[in-house]
Amino acid sequence: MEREQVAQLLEKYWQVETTVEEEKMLAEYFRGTDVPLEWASYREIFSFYEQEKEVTPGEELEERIMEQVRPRVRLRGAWWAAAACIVLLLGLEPLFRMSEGKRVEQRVVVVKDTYDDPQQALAAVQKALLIASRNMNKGLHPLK
Amino acid sequence: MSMSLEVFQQRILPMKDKLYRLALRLLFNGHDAEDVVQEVMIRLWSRREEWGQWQNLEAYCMTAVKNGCLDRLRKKQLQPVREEGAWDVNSHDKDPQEKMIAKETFMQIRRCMDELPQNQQLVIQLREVEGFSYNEIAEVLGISLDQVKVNLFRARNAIKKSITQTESSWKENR
Repeated sequence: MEREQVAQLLEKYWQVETTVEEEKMLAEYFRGTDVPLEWASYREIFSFYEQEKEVTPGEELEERIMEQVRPRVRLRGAWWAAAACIVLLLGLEPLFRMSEGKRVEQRVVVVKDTYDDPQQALAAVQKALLIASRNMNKGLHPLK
Repeated sequence: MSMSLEVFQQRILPMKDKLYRLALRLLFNGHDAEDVVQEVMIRLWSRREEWGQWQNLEAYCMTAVKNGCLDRLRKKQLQPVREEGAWDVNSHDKDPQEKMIAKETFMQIRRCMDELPQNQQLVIQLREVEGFSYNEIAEVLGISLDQVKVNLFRARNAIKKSITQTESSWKENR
């Protein structure tokens, strides 16, 4: 920006006639190194405001706010899922027994040795729980 | 994630810095300023059904923070508890000498600003720091456009006077 133009803008600035855009131009100009000595104090004023823009609250403020906004929802969901799994397993148990009918003794043996590999067994359990919780979520969805 | 939570995180939460600076301008205390911002944000969240009706969310939030601060000052019936260093920010990459001089002048400007009438301080804060339009400032402060300009005129010139005066007296003393 030409010196002449800056002088004009400054004049307008002190008369409260500059637009936000023009004030941004002034701030930009005073951020530069090519400021004549007579305007050195104006430069201080503009860089003071620049510095004020950097003032921010502590980082934990956002966390504190989000803690009050978010987690109750998430926690309630987790408890629902846990309760649902227990209910589901308890509920399904007699069904298994009924459908298996007389082969109860056989079933005990079968249950004992379903998987040889513990990794495989774990995967099977996880899969079952996942299906249960997914269905539970599906069921809860219309409630929200 | 729910729709309103997304809006909250993307549009309202990022305003916290601006809101904090406004609160700090009124309360001069970082802890109190954070408390007010938190209260306003939580209240805003609890009224999320009304968000659609508000014309200018930012002006609304700024107004809420301003009122929250004034309430707090009124309740305490006290002068704001000034906290040393509340305004400090990480200084930029200037050399130490320059930094010291800058710090001295900045303190002078701040002192001058702190002594201005409240509305002049707020107008300066909203215009020079946050870049608000006259209309937005009028809305937040609940004053007319003319009053905004008068306050800004007086504040700008008071700050100019304070810094140019001390500078000339400093030169004379050498």
